[in-house]
Amino acid sequence: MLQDRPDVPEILKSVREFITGVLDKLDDQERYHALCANYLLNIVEREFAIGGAIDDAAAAKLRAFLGVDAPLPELSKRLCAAIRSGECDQRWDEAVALVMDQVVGKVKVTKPDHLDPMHR
Amino acid sequence: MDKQQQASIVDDIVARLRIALKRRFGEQAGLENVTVATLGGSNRTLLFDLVEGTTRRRLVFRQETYRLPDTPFISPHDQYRVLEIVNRHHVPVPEPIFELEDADELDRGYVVACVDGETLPRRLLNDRAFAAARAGFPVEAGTILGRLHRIDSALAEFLAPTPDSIDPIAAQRSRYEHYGEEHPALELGFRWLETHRAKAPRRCLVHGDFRNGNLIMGPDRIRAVLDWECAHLGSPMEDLAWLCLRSWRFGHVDKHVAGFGDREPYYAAYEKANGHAVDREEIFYWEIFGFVRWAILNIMQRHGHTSGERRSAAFAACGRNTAMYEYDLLMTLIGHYT
Repeated sequence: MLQDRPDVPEILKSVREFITGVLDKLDDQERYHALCANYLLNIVEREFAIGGAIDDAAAAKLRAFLGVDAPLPELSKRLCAAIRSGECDQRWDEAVALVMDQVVGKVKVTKPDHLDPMHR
Repeated sequence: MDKQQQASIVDDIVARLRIALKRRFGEQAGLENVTVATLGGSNRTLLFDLVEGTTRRRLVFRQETYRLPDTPFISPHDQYRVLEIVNRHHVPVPEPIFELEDADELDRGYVVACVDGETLPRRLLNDRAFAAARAGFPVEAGTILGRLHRIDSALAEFLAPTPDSIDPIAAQRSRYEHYGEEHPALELGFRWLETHRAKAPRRCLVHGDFRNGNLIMGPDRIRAVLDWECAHLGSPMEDLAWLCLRSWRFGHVDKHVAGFGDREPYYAAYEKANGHAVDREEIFYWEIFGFVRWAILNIMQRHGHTSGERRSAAFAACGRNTAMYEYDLLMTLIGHYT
């Protein structure tokens, strides 16, 4: 790592400490937005820690499902087109399982508590 | 917007509103006790007292100053017409008082009666003060919807040209495409909705956003149904299903009717008030539709934020929250969630 300290998790912690410190001085509306800001920082923290691995796993499964090799955004676009055109109708359960896996990966970053115990 | 700008906007509105009141209620009509509820970039809401002699009425002023090009909401004029219709048919709403006109120089909007009570879902679901309201909620909600859906849809024919009245699925698809994101889960939702379409469902005036959060409640009952911006002509099951979305249960996941209670008393009350049977299969269909729609509404908020139209940390969070509604959509579709 070329960059100096603080590293990303440390910077996130610093910003969160600042927001938490001023919460009591804010009116209701501002407080709500400050809590949203904290929520967004938590997302960044999780994405920094696990986002790369989630993307890699999703891309590998998409390549296998579609039988093509391409970067993740392109694979995702192709999957959307295939579902839309009805191409996936014959592999519906397989497609649902694949997409469920992707969505679980997104929720793990956004709000892991939201997941049913079967996906935690 | 800083506090000084806000104050000057409010002063300007109040000055014009004062004249608008005198025009309608006579020279003696006064305006007092102004409080600001929201002062957004496109919508403004103020509360005030209309004073006529010794009587005083608390009213709400709602104004739309800017119409977003991609808005899924009907115009304030149509909202006001809907309020008038449903108010005449004993659906509890804030009483419509008057609509703004060009002469008022206050853009588009209207004035309605202020209804006291609570709207915050978490308070309604958890505070002891609302225990009685909670117990009666499924029956009351079913009765209100039953009454709403009995209204002759010909009275609301002016809503026929709105995209949601023409084809609710195509309307959502077009909004989704406008926001320019790839969502395989929503594609699955759309595909399922398109291949399982109900055959010519019964068509009536529907609220379109009847849920915890858009209802003013007192300790004992629902006092008013708010936010008619999504009203359109559609299947009555769409409204019934929307209230049962997991997203409005706020942790009380076993209580399917907005976290308050069970489906059966809700359906029974609906059938009693409406006369038509509840179609449970069609309700499932509209719940799937509901998750797709709720996810797209969250993408819309993200779009408002990142496009710069409506910057807000809350709207940024909405973008990422879309994943949770996709999750609920898929879990419902495969039968793990009910």
